[in-house]
Amino acid sequence: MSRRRRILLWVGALGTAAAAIVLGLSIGAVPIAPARAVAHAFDFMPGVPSARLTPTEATIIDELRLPRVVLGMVVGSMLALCGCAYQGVFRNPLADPYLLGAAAGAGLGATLAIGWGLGGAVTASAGFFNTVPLFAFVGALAAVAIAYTLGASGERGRAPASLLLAGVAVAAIATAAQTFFQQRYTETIREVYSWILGRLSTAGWAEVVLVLPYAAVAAILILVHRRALDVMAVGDDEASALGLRVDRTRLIIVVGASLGTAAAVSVSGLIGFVGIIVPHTIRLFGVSSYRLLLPLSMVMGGSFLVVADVIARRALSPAEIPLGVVTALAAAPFFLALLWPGRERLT
Amino acid sequence: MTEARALHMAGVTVRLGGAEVLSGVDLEVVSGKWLGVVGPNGAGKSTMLRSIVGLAPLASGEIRIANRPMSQLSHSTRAKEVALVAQEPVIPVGMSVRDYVLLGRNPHIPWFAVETARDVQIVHELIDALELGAFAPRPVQTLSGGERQRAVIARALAQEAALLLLDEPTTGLDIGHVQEALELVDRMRLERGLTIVSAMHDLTLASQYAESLVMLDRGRVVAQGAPVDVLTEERLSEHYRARVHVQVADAGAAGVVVTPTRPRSIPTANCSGRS
Repeated sequence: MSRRRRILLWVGALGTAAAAIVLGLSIGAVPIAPARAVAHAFDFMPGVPSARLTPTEATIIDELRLPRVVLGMVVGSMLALCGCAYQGVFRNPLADPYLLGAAAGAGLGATLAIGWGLGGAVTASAGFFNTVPLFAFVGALAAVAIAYTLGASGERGRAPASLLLAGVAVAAIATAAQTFFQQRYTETIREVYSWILGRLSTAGWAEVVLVLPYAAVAAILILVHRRALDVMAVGDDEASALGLRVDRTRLIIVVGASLGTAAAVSVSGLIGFVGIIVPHTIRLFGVSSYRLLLPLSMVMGGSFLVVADVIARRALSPAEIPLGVVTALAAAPFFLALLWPGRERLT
Repeated sequence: MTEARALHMAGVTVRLGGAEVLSGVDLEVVSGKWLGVVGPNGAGKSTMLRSIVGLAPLASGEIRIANRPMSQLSHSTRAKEVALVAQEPVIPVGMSVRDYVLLGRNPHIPWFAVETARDVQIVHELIDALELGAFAPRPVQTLSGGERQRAVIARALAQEAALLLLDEPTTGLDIGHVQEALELVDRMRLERGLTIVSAMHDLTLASQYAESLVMLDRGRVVAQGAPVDVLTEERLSEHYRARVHVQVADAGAAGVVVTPTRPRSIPTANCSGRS
């Protein structure tokens, strides 16, 4: 890929991200002109003319929209980054962040927390003291840990396949358990569904603070292995002959991606397809190296989710469409388009 | 002064799935030489090459690379000493020839770092030397068989390892591209002082390019030495169950010519179809 093309891709991605952020800050029940919303962000800088927002408008941006946009960026970038990492580590173009049971584990954890009434109402965010994110986080990590422990013990060379199968089995068990508990606590079924379908409506700075450290660790663990993911593309044996410690590298990347997924899921519920469509859309622009694919996926994943969230809260205003529904509605036509002639580009 | 040994295997035994695939293999290769590994299907040729890059764990025995025990080398140190051209290389979809050759620099780049200008320069020189310049930006999977094999060899050479292992390097190539690939390997061997160990099916080609041969059968070394001494009709009959005619090449040509033979008509006992 030429240097010029790389620069163009970066300009495009960062431009999209900037546009998504402005959109997220200015669109809402109380419309605020994009220029004023942007100017408000730079109010702290001396010499910049004030945006002159009313105190209400300032509060709306500072306490409602900005945390929601930031959380959307963090969650979206995590889902796209982790999906992309899983696709590389398993050499499977259809791998997504929930591949090893993270979604089912998180769903079970959240259902238990909601069912036992530990979190109070989900919608009344209690930040650190809301046990729903905590239970979801622990559930996601536990599911992946079980899948990895059982799946990676397979014979050398079969590890990726047995790991995927273990993930499928763990997800099936967790989903069955989640359905069982959901039926036991029928009075909370609405809350459980609202969580499962994904939302950023409870977003506040507390959630951002909660998720950011894990997201940072996950991003670092995955991004430092961006070159290793390119090496792994030639298969375990050849990668090992090229001097890569394949099993250890796979473990570190899976731990990073699982941590990132669990963190995202814990605050947003289950938002599907971001981890698949974002990396594949970037691949359609001729990007095949993970050194470029991973950071671009982060930027575009965050932007995609912020825009999807704007649609989720405005399309049927004042009602909110579940965010997972919006991303799936965007993803399904995308997949169908991919299944059209240019199918070989998918991988 | 003794010659430097690039590879030394002593009593190497490998078990896979309970079966002994290599049994007490002893051999050594002098630096700068080309050793051909021959033997029927399932003799353990690939396993032998895989054991040298650590892909087949040893049940017993020792492998020394440049006089250092392989078991004491780290993954990246080993990859700086030995490069493997696999029998059926996995070609990543969409990866350009340039990026693919760059993968060979992996053992030279610290795990958290990216390639240096020197790495890029080495890749460019190899792409030029192997006449891949026109294909450099193209995805590897769009190349023809011969071009692709050159890209795979370029990747192995990018490791700058003194010992190059080739597992059936000419599979799927026509006779012209077979010769092109083997001449390329021989040229690189002479220019860079490489040691070559290659598993080969074609016995005539093996005798033409390798200076010495080792024949494996059911995991054991059954013959070792100069091609004319190893490739005898009796041995090929015994270990390959093949009917062949072996002819020493004419003056001025290398190796031997192994020709499969078939009687003009094989007598059939119960030929009741015709009276």
